[in-house]
Amino acid sequence: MYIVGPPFHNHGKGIWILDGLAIRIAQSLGLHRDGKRLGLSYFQAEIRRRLWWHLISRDGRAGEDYGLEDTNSLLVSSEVSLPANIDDTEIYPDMQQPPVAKKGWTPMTFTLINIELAKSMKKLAYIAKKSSPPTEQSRLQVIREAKDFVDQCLLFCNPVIPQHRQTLCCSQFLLQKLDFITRIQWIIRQGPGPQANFATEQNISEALEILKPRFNREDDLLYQFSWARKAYPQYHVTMYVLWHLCLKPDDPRSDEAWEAMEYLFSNELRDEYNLTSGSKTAALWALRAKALSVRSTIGKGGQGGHTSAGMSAFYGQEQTREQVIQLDVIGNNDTTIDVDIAEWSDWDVLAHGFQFDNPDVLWQ
Amino acid sequence: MGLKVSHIPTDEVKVYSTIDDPSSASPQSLAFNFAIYFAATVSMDDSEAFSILGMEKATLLVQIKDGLEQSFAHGDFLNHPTIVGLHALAIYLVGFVGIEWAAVRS
Repeated sequence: MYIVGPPFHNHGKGIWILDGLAIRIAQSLGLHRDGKRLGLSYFQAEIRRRLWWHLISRDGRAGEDYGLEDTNSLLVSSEVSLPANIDDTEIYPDMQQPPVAKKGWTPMTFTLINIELAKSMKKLAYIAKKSSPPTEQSRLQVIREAKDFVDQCLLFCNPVIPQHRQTLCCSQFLLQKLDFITRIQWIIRQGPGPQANFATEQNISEALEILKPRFNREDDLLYQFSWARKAYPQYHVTMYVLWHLCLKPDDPRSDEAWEAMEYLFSNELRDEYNLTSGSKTAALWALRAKALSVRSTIGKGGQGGHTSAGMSAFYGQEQTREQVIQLDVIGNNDTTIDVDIAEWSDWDVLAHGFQFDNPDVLWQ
Repeated sequence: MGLKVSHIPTDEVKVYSTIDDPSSASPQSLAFNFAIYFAATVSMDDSEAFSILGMEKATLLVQIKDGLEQSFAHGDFLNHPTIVGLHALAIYLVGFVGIEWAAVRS
């Protein structure tokens, strides 16, 4: 059945399309209406809520993966109640009372955190679109609310237990990443050209902090989840680090940053993955080549006075980063990247339209 | 796994009933099983998959995917979708993201 079998080499778009299909199927089954209003049993209603929220909160990662903007607003407008924070044993087909939500950790806790974060992302995207430039205060407000919710959920997690630990690590990671990437996004939206608060020490520290768990294999308790790391490369954070390296090739942390980059580029961003992930990996390779060439012009470990040279080398005559990147990829033959130019309109969305990660993953 | 879409007590019965008597299972129940096999296989690394399943992970994934697609086709899923079929699709898509298709193809 061709619909379920997208071509192997194009898994990116396949997922995007199939996720859309799944939501349509869900709607055709009435999942967009709360089961209680449809007169279904408590059990059926709860099962349907899980499925519905799973499907609509999945779509978010698409922006990062494919540079496509998620157009559905179901996350913020859905009339379906959230699934309850309960253990599976608390619901059964002939139950006569609605389930009572628990305060402590359940297998649903991480799911609920994900839904909340996906909603926050949606709210942020809305703010970003509505006001230009959006205010940092409005961003912080959303982040703070999300953090309060997550903290409340994590209150009862015991890091000794692997599933709890997974919930803790992943939730904090996702929150940190949402905060970081939207902050960068907000800075970029202040206007074209370099911003003073862009390539800062705080930003690079935070970016490296976010990428760190990806090569930290010391946590044996979470080894079983390591497959998920490869499925979700950190495009935005990687892009930031490369930008930073272009602007500040002599940053005190540049060696550390390069180490992280080389790790990522020889693993999840490896060349052969270009096949499956398309233009954004190619763009990152091109940006990496640019950063490398800036680095070589100052000589490794060069100190002081090079920042502005690096910056002008990076920006050239262009005013916006996307243009620089775009020119790069098209014009730089050294990188031997074959990019379909038509896909390049998507890059702007990737650069500006950060969308939150897919929830169903563990990041470690 | 991270995001929970299943209900173990009832889904477990579904899965083992299908294994027990696949010939009388509905096509969409078969799809549900294939989706779970698929996600489970994706979560293993190559050597784990080989020692537990006795097959190359990539080969097995292609077989499971074929099984799933055929089940959907036989059940005419698009024209007659069911909650079970949609569950299957949802679980399959979770695993699907985790695949290095380039590696599977080669």
